[in-house]
Amino acid sequence: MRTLSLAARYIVYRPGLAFLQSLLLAFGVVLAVLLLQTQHAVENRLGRDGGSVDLVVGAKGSGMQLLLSSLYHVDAPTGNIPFTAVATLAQNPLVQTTVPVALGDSVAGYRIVGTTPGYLDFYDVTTRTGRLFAQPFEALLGAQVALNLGLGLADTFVGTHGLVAGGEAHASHPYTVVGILPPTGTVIDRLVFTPVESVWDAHADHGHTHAAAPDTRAITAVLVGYRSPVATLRLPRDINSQTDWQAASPALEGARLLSLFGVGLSSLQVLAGVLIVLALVANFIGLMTLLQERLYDLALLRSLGATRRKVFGLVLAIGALLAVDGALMGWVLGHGLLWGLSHTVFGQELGLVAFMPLNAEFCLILLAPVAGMVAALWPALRAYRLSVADVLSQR
Amino acid sequence: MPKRPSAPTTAPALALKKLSHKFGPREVLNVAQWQLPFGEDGLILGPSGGGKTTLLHLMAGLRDVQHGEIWVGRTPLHTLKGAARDQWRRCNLSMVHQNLHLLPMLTVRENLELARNLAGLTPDDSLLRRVLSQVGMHKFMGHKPPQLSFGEQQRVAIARAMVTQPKLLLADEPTSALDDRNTQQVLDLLAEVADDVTASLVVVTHDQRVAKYRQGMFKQQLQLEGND
Repeated sequence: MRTLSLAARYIVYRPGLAFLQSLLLAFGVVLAVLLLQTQHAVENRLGRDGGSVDLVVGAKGSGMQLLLSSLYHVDAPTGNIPFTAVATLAQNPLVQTTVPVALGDSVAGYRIVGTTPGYLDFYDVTTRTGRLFAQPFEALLGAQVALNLGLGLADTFVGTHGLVAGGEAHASHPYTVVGILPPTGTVIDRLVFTPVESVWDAHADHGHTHAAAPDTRAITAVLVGYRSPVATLRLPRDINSQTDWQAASPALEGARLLSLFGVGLSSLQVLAGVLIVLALVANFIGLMTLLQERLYDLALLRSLGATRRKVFGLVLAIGALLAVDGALMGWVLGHGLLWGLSHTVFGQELGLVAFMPLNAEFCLILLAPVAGMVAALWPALRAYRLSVADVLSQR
Repeated sequence: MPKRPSAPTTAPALALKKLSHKFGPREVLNVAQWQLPFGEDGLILGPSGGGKTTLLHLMAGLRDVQHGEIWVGRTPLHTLKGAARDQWRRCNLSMVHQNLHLLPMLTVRENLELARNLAGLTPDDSLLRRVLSQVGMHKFMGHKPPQLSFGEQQRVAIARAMVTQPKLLLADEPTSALDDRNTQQVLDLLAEVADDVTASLVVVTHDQRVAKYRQGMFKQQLQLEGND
């Protein structure tokens, strides 16, 4: 009988105790799996939601807020800029694409984005059914909007003022659905696209000054695609220093956002680390207890011919198996929880995927037996130094 | 009962010479000389505290010899240390412990397999079945020790000592918890299995009934005196 097999029999012999010993490590691994997957999902999500937009130009304020409002569509806009900014930026030789973004209304909490069909090119997507919007108050729906609001082609709806549900309805300006986008797993699934004129016209009745005359028309932001990599360095600097506008780069601000998010995660990572260390301490205590209980077994094994190295290896193997047991249990539990979370609104928004293990998780599981053996080292040394005759004499 | 063949040597199966052992200042064992010729069984009798267990552990190579000599055949056990002594024990010795102590998480069969494995021997299913059959436990191969009575566990422990086919079989208080009838049966069984594997049997006990029940069996007896 091999050492590993004998170690497994020791663990199976006291399943309740082994389960409790493994549980603490399992909790640590659950937390680690959730953190790793969430971090991965957030990074993915930010990357996907940014599409191929190189720069966002909007009103002065926080660059982060500009990105969050006009690209990721989760925050309030920083303000407005003149519509003429689109043409001005388009004339810059470093600029390939300019797409206006006009925000202000929503439907059932989904933002209505006044823009041009060029917006969709940043995400390399086209309509699943119907066609692109062309005339004011024609609407192209993101997949999630269409599904959740039960809207189809030729259906109509009215927008409400503001970016959250519950605002004043623009009842006199109903939108007609002319197209629906396929699911993309990005922010555009949750957006309603319409020509910029729709936003201006809806607010013309609303009494907002920004829609009064063509030369004073305003938009929230301009999404920019670079013509050349040189623009990466020059364009944001030129805009920020030479205009009244603000330029925010998704690459730079996204990294900042992730680092801010990482600060929040790091405290949880510390917690996961503490749990794992505690689990190893529990593993050590459990093995010392097991050693005390089964001392006679070890002495017997030695009297039957087992070498000192054999009993040393046996205790190490028990430690390693307990750790692997805990790690696997935690990994399965963690992915079970992820599966549950992936069915919630939060999980879907974040794009959590239940059964797509990350390399870091495999590392965690591969490291588990090593950590288990480290925890078992002292008990194993005690087993190695065991005086067989003394133990047998005690009975 | 088949008679064990004589060893092709003049050396005794087991010889103790001027053997003494102390725990601190207290001497617990002192044997001037004792020999067990090949083909014979030995009995070591003594009261509690008489040094029986110490002697047993010395003969089993589980303790260092402080003074004197122990020869098993032509092997000077008193000179062997550490791994060499472990290796000698693995290849030459089996013990039947007073507390039997089978591993409770393993079946009867696995306990026997483990003993062979630890002795560095290859698995031998037919030997295992034969041995279990000999002790009347062949129907309990899949049982675990806690499912067996004390007597049944004792038989399994004897079978475990047999499967490694040792040269020296040491039995520690094999009858201390048994009634008269079972004492007789266990002694018969030990003698039978020792004959079967041509091992020299040494029974260490305080139980005076052993000498009485097996008249003529233990030609070589060693009486230890208590030092308390």
